[in-house]
Amino acid sequence: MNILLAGEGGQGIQTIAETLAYAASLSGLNSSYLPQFGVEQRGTPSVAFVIIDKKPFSANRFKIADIAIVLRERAITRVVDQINPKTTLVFDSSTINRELLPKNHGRLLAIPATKIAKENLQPKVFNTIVLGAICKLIPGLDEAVIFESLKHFLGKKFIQSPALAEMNKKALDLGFKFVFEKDKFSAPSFQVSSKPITVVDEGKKSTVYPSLCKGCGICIEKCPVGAISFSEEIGFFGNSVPKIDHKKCILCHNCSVFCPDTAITIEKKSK
Amino acid sequence: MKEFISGNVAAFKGAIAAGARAMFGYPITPSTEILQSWSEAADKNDHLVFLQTEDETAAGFCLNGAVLQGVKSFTATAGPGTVLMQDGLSMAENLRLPTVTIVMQRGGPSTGTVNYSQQEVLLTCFGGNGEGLRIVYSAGTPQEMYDFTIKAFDSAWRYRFPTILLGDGYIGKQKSQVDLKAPLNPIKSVNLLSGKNIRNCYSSEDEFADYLKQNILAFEKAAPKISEFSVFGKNSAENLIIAHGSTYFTVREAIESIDPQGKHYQIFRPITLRPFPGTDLNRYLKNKKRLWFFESSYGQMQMIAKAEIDFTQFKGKVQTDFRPAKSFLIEDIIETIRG
Amino acid sequence: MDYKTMPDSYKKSSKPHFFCPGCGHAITLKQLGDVVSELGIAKKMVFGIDIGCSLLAWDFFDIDTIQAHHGRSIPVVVGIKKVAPKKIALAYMGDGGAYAIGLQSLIHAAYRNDPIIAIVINNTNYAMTGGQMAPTTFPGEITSTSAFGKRDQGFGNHFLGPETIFSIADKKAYIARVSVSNPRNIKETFKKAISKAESGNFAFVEVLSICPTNWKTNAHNSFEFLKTIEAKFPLKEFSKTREAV
Repeated sequence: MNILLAGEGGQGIQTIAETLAYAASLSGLNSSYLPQFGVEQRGTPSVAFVIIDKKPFSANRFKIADIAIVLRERAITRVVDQINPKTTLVFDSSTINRELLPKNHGRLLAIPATKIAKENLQPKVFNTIVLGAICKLIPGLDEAVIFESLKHFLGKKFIQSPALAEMNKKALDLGFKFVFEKDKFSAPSFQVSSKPITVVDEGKKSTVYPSLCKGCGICIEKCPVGAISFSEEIGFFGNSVPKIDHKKCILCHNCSVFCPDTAITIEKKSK
Repeated sequence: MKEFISGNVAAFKGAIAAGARAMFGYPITPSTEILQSWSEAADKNDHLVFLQTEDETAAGFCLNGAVLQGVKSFTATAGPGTVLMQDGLSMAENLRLPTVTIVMQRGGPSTGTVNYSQQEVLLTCFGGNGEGLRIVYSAGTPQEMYDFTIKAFDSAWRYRFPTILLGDGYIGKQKSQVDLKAPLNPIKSVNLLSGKNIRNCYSSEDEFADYLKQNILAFEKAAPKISEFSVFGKNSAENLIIAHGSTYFTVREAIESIDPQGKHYQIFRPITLRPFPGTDLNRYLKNKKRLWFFESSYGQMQMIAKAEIDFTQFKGKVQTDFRPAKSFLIEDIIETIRG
Repeated sequence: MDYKTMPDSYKKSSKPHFFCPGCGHAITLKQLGDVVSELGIAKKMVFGIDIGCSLLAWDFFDIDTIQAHHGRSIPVVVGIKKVAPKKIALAYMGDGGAYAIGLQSLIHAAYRNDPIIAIVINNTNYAMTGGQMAPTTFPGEITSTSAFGKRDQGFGNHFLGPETIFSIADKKAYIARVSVSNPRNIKETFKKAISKAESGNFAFVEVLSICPTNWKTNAHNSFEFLKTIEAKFPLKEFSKTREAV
């Protein structure tokens, strides 16, 4: 079985892929995992090839995926040439607009994993939720062996923080129990606005560009009066985007000076 | 205008005649006189740029920078220095930078000898971590060190591939009459960096493969125009001898003495080792009964030649006289042929 | 998109860039971009970058940019400056490219007083390849190739670049160490460095930087760790004479 995963650096694509491949080998199957990504640590497509078979094999890549999982709109280009009408295409409906997906797939399934992670647990276990969901599609794998495999990779962190282990177990369970959206898909609610957010208030004008913001939190850290906090807006990496409390702001400009992404600024604005 | 000079000094004069304005290098026998001559010229002429760098690696990269900026520039090295130059040459190969590198071969591997060899053929043709998109000339006399240096600058800037001139320690040091004919129409250099953001590291296999493919296609297209050879003797001869650089001239003098008409021995001389004149070689191999390889290496040029030979057409015998790090004398050639 | 927050020197089509969230490179490049725009020198400049995270800046600016091999941004920039003396030639690299593979060239550029500007972004690790130990990793610091903390026996203390360069540079060279904890100071320092190079001398600025990705820190902890680095790498302008810069 050929499984292709495509997302973005930072989403945990490689962890999902590696965990699946290792889980398969724990279950007595033959498996292979191959990562494929560029030089950037973040932001560019992160792709993984997983092959699982009862028989031994030597390949590490394939042309057509049996299951293709897309977790970021920007990564769609990486699956387009590797699916055909027999491929089961799985996508994150909370961030990906279904219209942008290639059309020549077989079954189309979705899980609004980003939304589930944010609303029920924490954004960082998004990939574990996906892992739980897709293991249902692979014969020979069950929830228990997946968690075993996950412990193999994150074991040290689980020992340091039992709360993290608990959260991952819950995430896995949530994903496993989730019934894939088949005909009706959630509308993507976590999309990055391409327009700046401009606020004029208290004699000041602030501008935030969600399409540039990566949610590093430095502006919040460097604001001397605590005037900045995260809002509900989504940024370039699916992160939260800050907003400025104009009342508190003293126009020191630390936020715009420190922002690595030139994503935030505020200036005096007489009405 | 004729001067009695060494091959190394002839190369320096060739660079000047070709319009070179900058040289970056590191002293290493047997190429040091090239650097020395340039340094002295730059002392007297503000227009010329010289930097003796901290090592050959730095020289290769200073050269890349200068060429990017649109200035005809070169370096000169040998042996272990040629090995270090591969880092800079790889970058030049990827970006198609018209650098000129003069390599005066010496015994290898490692620091071997400082004298002579023909052992840097594979290194200069294919030494980087790429496909060898380089132009390589092989000179055999001090005169050719002058002529081919001019040719190297022309080819580099005309076709935009890093160009290497292979000489050897003997012709570098040998002095003889060199005719310093000025080139007719030296090609103009152009700024290759202006208004550009240039990278050589890509994130995706596809993007880079496409870019590399374009470079390969350009090389293939230019190859017939760059490839050069010469032939001595009659097509009807039974034997074809192939040799390059100074070994070629030794072979020729040997054949001239035992078979002055070239009735029995025809000699094929690749002037460019890269691109190799394979099509032409096959043409001359037709109807030949025997092919001789003479080179001062353990078959480096032979490897390149054999890759091009159509052995369905040439069914003759292949004989070799390989003398890695040793030079041939006329008597050696005659002895081998007669033996 | 007309981003009002970006200096003119930025190449807008390459934004958002792909430096990690909270990357010290991006903070520093913004200061550099502001300086270039304010001084109006974009067209006069040549920007040479190294291998490592600095290579992500290849299309960052509307400035002639050339990405070199690892540790080779300085010789490429020196070659350019030698043949085009009117250009403002800037080599930009990380602590690995500057103090390991490229140290030879850095020392000789200083030794020759080449009138270039060398900027080193120091986050005490080899970030792009996953956070390995670097010459600037300090004893006891944990990196991916010093899992129990860098042992000082056999490795010595953390490499102090500006101090080393100061000991061999011309007395008119400009040498400074700054930190992303004070970006405004970085900007002023860059202006001085450029001015020094323009007057025919070597200019060298080390910028202590943060790497949230490899340090696995959030914004607050990144700057806290930066404080421990600042305690070991003194922030100062090194000057051989008292002449005003």
